[in-house]
Amino acid sequence: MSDNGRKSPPAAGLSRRGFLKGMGTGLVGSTALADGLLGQQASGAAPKAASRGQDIESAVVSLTVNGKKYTAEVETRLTLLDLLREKFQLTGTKSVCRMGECGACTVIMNGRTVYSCMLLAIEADGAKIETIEGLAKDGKLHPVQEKFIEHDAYQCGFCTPGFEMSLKDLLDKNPNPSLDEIKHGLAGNLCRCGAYPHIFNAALDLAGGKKGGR
Amino acid sequence: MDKMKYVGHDIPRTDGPEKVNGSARYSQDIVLPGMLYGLIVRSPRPHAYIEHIDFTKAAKLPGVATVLNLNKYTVRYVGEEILALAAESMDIAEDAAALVEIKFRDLPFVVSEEAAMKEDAPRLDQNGNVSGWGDGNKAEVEKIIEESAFAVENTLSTQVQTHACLETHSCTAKWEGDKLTAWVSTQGVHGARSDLAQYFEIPVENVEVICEYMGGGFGSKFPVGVEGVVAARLAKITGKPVKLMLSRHEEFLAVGNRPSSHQHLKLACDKTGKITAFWQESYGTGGISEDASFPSPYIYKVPDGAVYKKHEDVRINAGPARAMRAPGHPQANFAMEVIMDMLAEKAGMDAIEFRILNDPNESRHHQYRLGAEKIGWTAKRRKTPGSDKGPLKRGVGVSSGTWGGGGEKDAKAIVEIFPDGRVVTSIGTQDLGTGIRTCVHQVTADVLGIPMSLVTPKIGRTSLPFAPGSGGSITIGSVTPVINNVAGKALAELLAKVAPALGVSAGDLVCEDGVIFSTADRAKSMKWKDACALLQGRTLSVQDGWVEGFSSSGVAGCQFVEVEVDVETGRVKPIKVVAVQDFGLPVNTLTSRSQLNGGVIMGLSWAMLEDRSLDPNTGTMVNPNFENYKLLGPMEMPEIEAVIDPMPERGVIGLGEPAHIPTSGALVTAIHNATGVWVTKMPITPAAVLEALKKNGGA
Ligand code: FES
Ligand code: FES
Repeated sequence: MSDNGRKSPPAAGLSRRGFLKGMGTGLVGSTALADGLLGQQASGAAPKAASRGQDIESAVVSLTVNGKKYTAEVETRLTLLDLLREKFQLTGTKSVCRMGECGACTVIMNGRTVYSCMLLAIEADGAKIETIEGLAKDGKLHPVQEKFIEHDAYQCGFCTPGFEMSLKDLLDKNPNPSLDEIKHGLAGNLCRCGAYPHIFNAALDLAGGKKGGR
Repeated sequence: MDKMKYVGHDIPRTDGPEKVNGSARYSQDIVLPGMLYGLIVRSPRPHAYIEHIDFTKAAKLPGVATVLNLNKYTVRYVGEEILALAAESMDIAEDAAALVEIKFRDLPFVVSEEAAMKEDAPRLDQNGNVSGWGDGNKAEVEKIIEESAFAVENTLSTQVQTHACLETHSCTAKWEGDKLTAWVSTQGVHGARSDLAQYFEIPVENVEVICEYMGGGFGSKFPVGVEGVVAARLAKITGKPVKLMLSRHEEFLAVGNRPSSHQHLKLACDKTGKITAFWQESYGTGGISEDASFPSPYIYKVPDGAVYKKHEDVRINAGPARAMRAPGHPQANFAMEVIMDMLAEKAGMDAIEFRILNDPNESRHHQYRLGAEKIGWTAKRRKTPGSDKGPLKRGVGVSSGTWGGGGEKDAKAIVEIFPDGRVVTSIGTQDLGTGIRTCVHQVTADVLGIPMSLVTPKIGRTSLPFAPGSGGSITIGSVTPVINNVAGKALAELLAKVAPALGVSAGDLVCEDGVIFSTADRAKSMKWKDACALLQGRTLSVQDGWVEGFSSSGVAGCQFVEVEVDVETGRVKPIKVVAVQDFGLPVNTLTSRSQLNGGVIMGLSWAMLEDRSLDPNTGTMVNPNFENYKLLGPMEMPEIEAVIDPMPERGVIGLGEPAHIPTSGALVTAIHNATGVWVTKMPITPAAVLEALKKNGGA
């Protein structure tokens, strides 16, 4: 990040933080998601003043991503999504709408799914984040990943990391979901290629239920 | 084909692991040291002269590297590019954009087809807003209609749909001297390379375009576009790599859409149900661009001289259309299927029998019967539409489509066999999500007769041999014949080396499951790896092109929808969709079913939800986000049965487009069967259903 001590110009208008507060998520999604977002805002991690005197336009954040500790000085308005993608180069988490409407940026924060585009990096200070890069352990794919491959639960693959994180979270909380519960659990994610039927098949297979229509 | 171990089967994707673990690098995922972020400042006005631009404040903002004026004098739609800038972060780029001051002199504008067609409408330019064409003799056709036993007439409308690829258009560009590397989200790496080379007036070999993965295209990602050129220009000016990704908002405004259509149709038949005449007056808009036409009377046979058509392309102040998944066909399908069903009903015929009578394609005849059986047509088709008791009414509908496909003959590939037994197949095609990388992999392994694990397919960059852009469902028909040919030649060269070692004639040798043996004497055999060792440290490399015989074109398909309609709320709930599709030899049945599902879902999404809505007062799109431009999501998914109708003897044919065509027609005819009323306008929202019910005096 540039260390020029820059303030947001007045023309930029509403800060992203203000924007976040004023904006709901775009989809009627899983309640876990909404809770996660609101819960985080309520706890409101206070930005630490950066080394450069009074300037609270930037702050230092420390967080654990996939078990690894990261520290970075960031602009206070930087989203968690951009922190992951552009600063840490964890580009598996996708940026699609940047407005909480599609679920492509879904990560698991402190055990709950969140839209990382709807959180500021500073709100993730001290948090434990799981991203798609951390799903496989010791070179072994997570069952969700294996079943996605087996059932061809994607086409272009751009929505895939988001769906996988949502499904992982769903299965962590409800190991044996019905098709209906799966649909609800994934309701905050969009796929333009129309991979849903195969995603459901993967999920049902993991749930040990019977396979849906092919 | 019986020898094929991989082709014709459910084969999980080669790039599956990369897609599920987040390591697949899309254009947007490129992060380079010192990289800047590009951004395009776009017009907020639908039609205006640009009187003055002042970007001094923007240019001075710390963190801004450069501002590039695109030197436009006029803008003709909200979202048209005006200038571009590059900054150290996306946030700074956005701040800088907000500091650009542009003085516009507004011009009159028009954003609806009907308004644009008026005599005194504001004009987009001196060419006027409307251009049209016609075909057939109106008076004669009207006379035939009058004399026919049965005739129907209706006006059907389809709305503008946008591609809404999840990965927005994007390009990351990096210069080294006069050599450009560009990671472009594109449906044609080689085409993008030509575009860039041409723009910068440098030899094509100075440009490398890379697209290993892309997040959807659906027709909108052919040209490298203003955004691609701008990224490269910004990189050139600043001497640093530049990444430019369009925002979701920009994506909706400026990089393509499917034109609307308004079709006034008349259709007539004789006493036996044979169509006697077709009459059409239509218009549609592709924004500032011209082509809003569609094929008609689509797949149905109308006697020569009995067709009258008049069509007008209407230009409005909105972003230009781009090819979108089976251009023109879904619009044609929706309207034709409604008018067909209306006529069948009037003639007192079953919708399927009526179609079979008038559809010259024999493949579809058996598909109608196959699909009817799968959806349970006989039991579920309401004899009297709308006859279910109570507010929740069910019904089934049918619809069909066609597409060409085929292949481009200038595609080339290299197959390399290494002394250690590994094989690399290289072809400069690109995988939009259809699974072509996997097809290349499968075909190579099958032709060579070795396990897929020995083969690495390489695609997605222009340093690889030429392959055409992926559109019109031609990729598989262009790519697989080349692989078949080149791998076959490479194998022949290897077998020529094995023959003397085994003391047999090369013509008798085949390779199966990684073992080369003589068909004359099975005992004379050699393992693949040992055969490759005969290369003595050299790599066997063959490059060649496309040959006739492995692919063809022209497909048939039909779809059936079972729907439930709540006539009190207007809610439409698709219960089940059966999609029957022929596409010759299915190379990968697993990924093919994915494509079929995807086509159906995009069709339902368009039919029920998607609508680019423009405000007549401001000329701006009122729903440029996924909150208000709705896509079908997990909750709305019906059961989908993707039925592959294999015709391997025809060779491989693409299926990306055909899968998307018949869905809206099947849905609307099902809604009629459930409710007894015709919804003649898409999207079929609850309000549209209630309006149709009201017009017909309730259900
Ligand atoms: S990118 Fe975060 S919800 Fe769409
Ligand atoms: S697989 Fe392409 S958007 Fe879901």
